[in-house]
Amino acid sequence: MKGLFLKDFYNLRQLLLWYGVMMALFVAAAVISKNLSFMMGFGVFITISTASSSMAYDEKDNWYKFARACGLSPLAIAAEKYLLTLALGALSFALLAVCQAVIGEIDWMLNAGFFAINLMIGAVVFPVLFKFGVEKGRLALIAALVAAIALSVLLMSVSGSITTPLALALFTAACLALFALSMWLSAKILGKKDM
Amino acid sequence: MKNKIEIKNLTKHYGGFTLDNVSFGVPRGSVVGLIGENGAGKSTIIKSLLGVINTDGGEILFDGVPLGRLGKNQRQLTGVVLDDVSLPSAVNLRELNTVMKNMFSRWDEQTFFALTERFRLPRDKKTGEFSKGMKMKTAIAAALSHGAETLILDEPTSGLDPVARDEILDILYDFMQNSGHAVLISSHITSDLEKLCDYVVFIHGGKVAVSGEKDALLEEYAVYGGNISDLDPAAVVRVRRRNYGADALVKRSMIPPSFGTEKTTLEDIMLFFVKGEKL
Repeated sequence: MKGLFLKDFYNLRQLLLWYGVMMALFVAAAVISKNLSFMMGFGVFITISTASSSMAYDEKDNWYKFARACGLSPLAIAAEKYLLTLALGALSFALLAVCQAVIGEIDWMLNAGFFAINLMIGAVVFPVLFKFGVEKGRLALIAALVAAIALSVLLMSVSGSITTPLALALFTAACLALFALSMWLSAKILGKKDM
Repeated sequence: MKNKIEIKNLTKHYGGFTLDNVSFGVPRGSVVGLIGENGAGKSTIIKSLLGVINTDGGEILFDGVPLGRLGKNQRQLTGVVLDDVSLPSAVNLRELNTVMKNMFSRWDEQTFFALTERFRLPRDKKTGEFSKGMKMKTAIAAALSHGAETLILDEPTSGLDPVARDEILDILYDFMQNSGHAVLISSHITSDLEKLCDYVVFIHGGKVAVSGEKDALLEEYAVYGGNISDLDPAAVVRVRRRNYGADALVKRSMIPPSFGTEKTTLEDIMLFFVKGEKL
């Protein structure tokens, strides 16, 4: 798994640098304006688009064929993309918490909802990308990212009205379950695919 | 001799193509060449062996163990060189070494860098900027750097100049110095296989047309350029008719010595089976 992460890091280092610079600008704007909506939307964008970009590199290089030929299971190949998403989602979560601490108080409920949205979008998009490829699945990806940004903004506006931690916990748990189910589905799709 | 790889009745259906009950073995300590024209089914066999396509029937055994039951470590005892290389293109050799070190439990970076030095590959250039020959050499260096006992190579010399092809063949000769090793190599450059192989499997139209020990095959067949009607029809394997006459691929043992046959090559055998007709 570490080898797969390293391969993605080398493939994506320039993109990650660019995203880092952009995120710094979004964070600065969020802290100054005390409005985290767009920063959250960009966080979701980075999380999903990093994983999908890594898939695009893998497709271009025919990497899945080599990885399968070297004995890596479809589950290991798919799981790496999901773990990458989980890691970037956690990073966005942490960044959001730091920004909230700077401008006021950390809203753990909002942050948990934001994290869950990251997972939900990934859960919907990744099986489509594994099935049809990044090029053909681009439409699904764009639709999912627009939905993610809309959901982030919506979450910001209704976060004050969500008063039941149980509801949020259930939503987050459902997203986690969907994420795990999606990973299993992606592994099945990869396993059935002729490379 | 125990087979390192055993393929039994391998079948795979695509849209307009069927790999039809292909069976052969790769004995330990030997190089088996898979020859055939483009689209004959060579790559389908290789991909089936590597588990990157799902087969519709048959059995593939590595050291007697079915492919599907091999664990990751057992799978890594097979080195792989794919026709399209399939390595990350945005990394240089140092980074590729780091990736592979974390993928293969028996990765040997000294071997990897020794091989890349031998192939004169630059360490700090991205592999995506390499020429086709350099990419293929990188793939071969990687395949030989994780303790593989078996090598499976799909068209490793295709599109390469004679010098690069010769370097690759030299490396494969070195690999075969260990009698426990085995190589399955597909190519349509039959001259390379003629130098390297102990056994040949000729695939035509998704089926095994001819297979056997290379020297025995070259001894068994001959080319006859005279009047075909003079021959015993049972001795004629295939005939290629041309404007000026016809050539026949014949069974040497069934032709009287006075008929004056020519030695055959793997390329002759392939051409007669693909373009020739039965009497």
